[in-house]
Amino acid sequence: MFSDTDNKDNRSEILSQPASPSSDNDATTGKNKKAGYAQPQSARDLGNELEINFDEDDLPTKTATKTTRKSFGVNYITAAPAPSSAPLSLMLDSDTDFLALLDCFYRRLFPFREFYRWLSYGLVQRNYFQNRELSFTLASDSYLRFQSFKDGEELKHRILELKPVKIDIGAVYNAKPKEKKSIQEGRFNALERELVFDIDMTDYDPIRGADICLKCWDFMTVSIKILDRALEAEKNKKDFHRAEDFGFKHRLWVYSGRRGVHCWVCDDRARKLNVEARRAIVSYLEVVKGGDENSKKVSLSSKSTHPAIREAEKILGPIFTTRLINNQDILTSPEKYEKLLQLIPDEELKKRLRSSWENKNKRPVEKWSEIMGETQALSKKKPALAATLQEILFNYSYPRLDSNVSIGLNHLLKAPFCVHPKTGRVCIPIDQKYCDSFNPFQAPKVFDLINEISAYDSAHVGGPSVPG
Amino acid sequence: MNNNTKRSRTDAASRKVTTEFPFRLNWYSDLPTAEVSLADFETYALNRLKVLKAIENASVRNRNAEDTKQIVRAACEKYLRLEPNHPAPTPEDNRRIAAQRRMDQQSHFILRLAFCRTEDNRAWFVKHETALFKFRYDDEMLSDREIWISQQSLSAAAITSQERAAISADLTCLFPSNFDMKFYKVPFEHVLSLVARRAVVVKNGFAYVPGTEYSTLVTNAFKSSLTTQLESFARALPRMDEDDRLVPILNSIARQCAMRDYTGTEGQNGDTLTANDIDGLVPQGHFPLCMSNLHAHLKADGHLKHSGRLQFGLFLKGTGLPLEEALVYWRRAFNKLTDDKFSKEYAYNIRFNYGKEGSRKDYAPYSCSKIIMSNHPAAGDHHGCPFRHATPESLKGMVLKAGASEAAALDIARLSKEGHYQIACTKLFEVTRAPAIARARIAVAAAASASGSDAAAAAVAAAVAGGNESVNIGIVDIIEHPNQWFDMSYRGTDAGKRRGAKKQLDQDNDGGAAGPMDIDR
Ligand code: SF4
Repeated sequence: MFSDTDNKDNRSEILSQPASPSSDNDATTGKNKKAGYAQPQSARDLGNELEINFDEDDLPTKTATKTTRKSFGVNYITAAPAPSSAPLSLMLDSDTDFLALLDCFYRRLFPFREFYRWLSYGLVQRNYFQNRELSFTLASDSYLRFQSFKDGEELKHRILELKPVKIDIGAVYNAKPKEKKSIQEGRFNALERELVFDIDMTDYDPIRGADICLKCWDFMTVSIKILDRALEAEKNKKDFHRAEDFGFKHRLWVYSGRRGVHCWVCDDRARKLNVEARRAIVSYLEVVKGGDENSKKVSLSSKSTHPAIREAEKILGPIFTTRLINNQDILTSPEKYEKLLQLIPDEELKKRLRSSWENKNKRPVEKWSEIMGETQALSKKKPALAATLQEILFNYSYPRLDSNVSIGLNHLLKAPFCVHPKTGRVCIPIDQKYCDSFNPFQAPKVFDLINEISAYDSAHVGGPSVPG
Repeated sequence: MNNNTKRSRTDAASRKVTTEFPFRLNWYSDLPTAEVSLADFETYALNRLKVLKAIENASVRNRNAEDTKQIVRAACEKYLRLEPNHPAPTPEDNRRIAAQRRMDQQSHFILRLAFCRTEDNRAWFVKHETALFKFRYDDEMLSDREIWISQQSLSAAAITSQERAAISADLTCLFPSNFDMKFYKVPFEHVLSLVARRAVVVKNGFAYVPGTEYSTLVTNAFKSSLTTQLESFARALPRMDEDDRLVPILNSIARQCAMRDYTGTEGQNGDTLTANDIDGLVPQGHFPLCMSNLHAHLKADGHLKHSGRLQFGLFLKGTGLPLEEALVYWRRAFNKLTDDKFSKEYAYNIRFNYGKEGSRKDYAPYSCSKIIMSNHPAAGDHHGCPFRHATPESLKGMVLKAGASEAAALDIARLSKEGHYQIACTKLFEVTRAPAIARARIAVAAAASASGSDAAAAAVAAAVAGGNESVNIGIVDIIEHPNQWFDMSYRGTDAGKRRGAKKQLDQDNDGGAAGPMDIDR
């Protein structure tokens, strides 16, 4: 898994520590993505209560927070900021005092003003900010839900005091979340929330190659393009036929800090959508469905094509044939291509492809064009095959959403501009227009940022003002 | 003379009512104004409830559209007759029709009162009222329907040819031959079910609904207006609680419909399981597929994801596993975790299921429809219903493993493929569990007659004879709840014999209709 390899690489190099407790845990629960923290599907049934059960990904790294290595202070000023010298790794260097970095990050860099301006939405609705739930994860592993604040000042004050390793944004309620206890049960309800999407590489584990690298980011780039298109608003009045599906103007894409992306749709109309509407939108956007028991996860009609599928195909096609097919091991070993063959509902064709691929020298692209040629030729006689190509394509590249996060009104999602506690990377916005050039390995690390500040401080003010 | 004035007054009243209800279809946006006696109040409500129950039954049994229509039509004729407008009505007709329509309206509102208080009840009511509305809408005479529609504030106009030209590429993509189709443009929020299925073109926030789906449009509008109104009823209700003549009646109405509830509060049945029992129950077939599948994965991986834990954990609670035992069981099952991690991250969940944490609500185990309808399993998830969510291959494997024959497996595969998940599950129960239950009964009967308990023996004999062959326990109720499977299987056979077989007998004596509460008479 992603984190295993990473953890180990990093540690054996830096700490020469053979195995870490957290990589052990990854083996059992690392895949247990979003199990509890993002509120279960039936959050409603659970009475909006917190459920303490973090995803491994979202837990503060024990090594990062609890092993204090060298003393701080001069150290990071003298150490030349060398963002690219580390091996390609998303993990945080363990030998830093994460909390001290965070403190400085919150004091000097976190955009509180913008954050407050965003979440108050022009104060058009009374108490929109005051009734918004925020939640904090602290370095001590405790999790504070139902926090709420009078204004940006109070929020800032509290964050500086607590130095949360993670901030989540929840819904706007009909009352102040911090006063929840004093409200009769059943009378405290979530009213509005941004329409959010959470896409994480973990959900791609069954279809991607074992190693992790920039190649996998293709999945995220494709996801951004497809979802953003579907959510987008009319670009200009004259160009009506280019208007996209849902017509939302305010879409913010954010890097999740590790191996995923989040999307915040902030239009008034989006924030007011009820659970049903969110479920319908998710279902509209979701093409890859089904659990482990279900190997065929994509079913498309062969008779007609929905325009959203057609548009997605336009985006997926080129990336699949030029990049994914080579980068993701889809058609290399028999073990891999057997999975793909399962998607073909024709035994004879499968046999033919298998025997033709016994020739080990065949390149994946050649195999793919064989599939294309054969299915297209056969599809006239066998209608079952008409949608097969499309289904394969979508199975291997269409965005995989964590639908529960999008559907539940009272689910929480990590706020933009947080620092990912494991990687130390800042959850920065991604401009969807230029998502092709976004590189997660170049997302700023809090460590480097603080170094830059220190360097600046010592050059300009004559001494570091960051705490030691 | 006296008589005459009386008559003319009722005539006037009946005319007034027919003008009040010029159509059979009713949006129920106006509150009833006429008074109802307490006796009628309850009768009306129960009659309407019978119709809604019939609709529910038809949908649980996955009847096809035509059968469903027949069933609903029959129920309506019997309990909630609504005649169409007559071309030349006599005053007598008018009076009768007016009375029918008034009763329709009143019964609707009484049930609203009864069902608005909990979210589950509201959802149930809205679902089945909407189905009733749809049935009536489809059934209405075209001319009446069109006039009625035009009077409602449904703002769905067919799109102009200009608009059509602008999106013609998209329309043709989804509806290859659409020349003679009409399209209506509405905010996408109005036709969520069509959006969810990608059955409409969505453009800039509007859905373009084809004429063939117009009834969906109307039905959805009905549904959403009913939902909002129920919510406002719920908010207004605390005031009504003061009218203490109504409250008991409303409560009893709501209870009439409450589906069999497996809250599984510990000790409810006087007997409890222990952590040690659980693993042994699975190979004996006491768990339905959805649960034995979760169990298998739990055993293999030493872990289950959140939704799986909820589904399985609540089910275990329903089997009568007390909290302490559940903690022991899960601790052992999650064998890869340290104690510390377990108690920090999972113990809370388990206590939560038992209402010992958080909002302290005693959560009920999930019913089949909840498992089937909500929360589709994603990659790596094992929750859900295998009949619904597994591939045909893996389903077949599971079914055979459960002990079904090849032929039965084929049958089951066909049923699930056609969407009759719960029937498929019931079928599996019949072929794998029923023989064991029947055998157990005979054994009990033998023991009973040996000990001279004639009544019990007679009951068993009747039960067995009623089935016509020795290994048949007769028609099994459709499985509607995983805990129903468990109860029927466990209490019906050896494993439950010590504690359960006697109960099964008593229940059968009662025509099998008695709930578990009626047992200790
Ligand atoms: S029908 Fe119900 S009991 Fe049977 S497997 Fe599905 S969910 Fe479980």
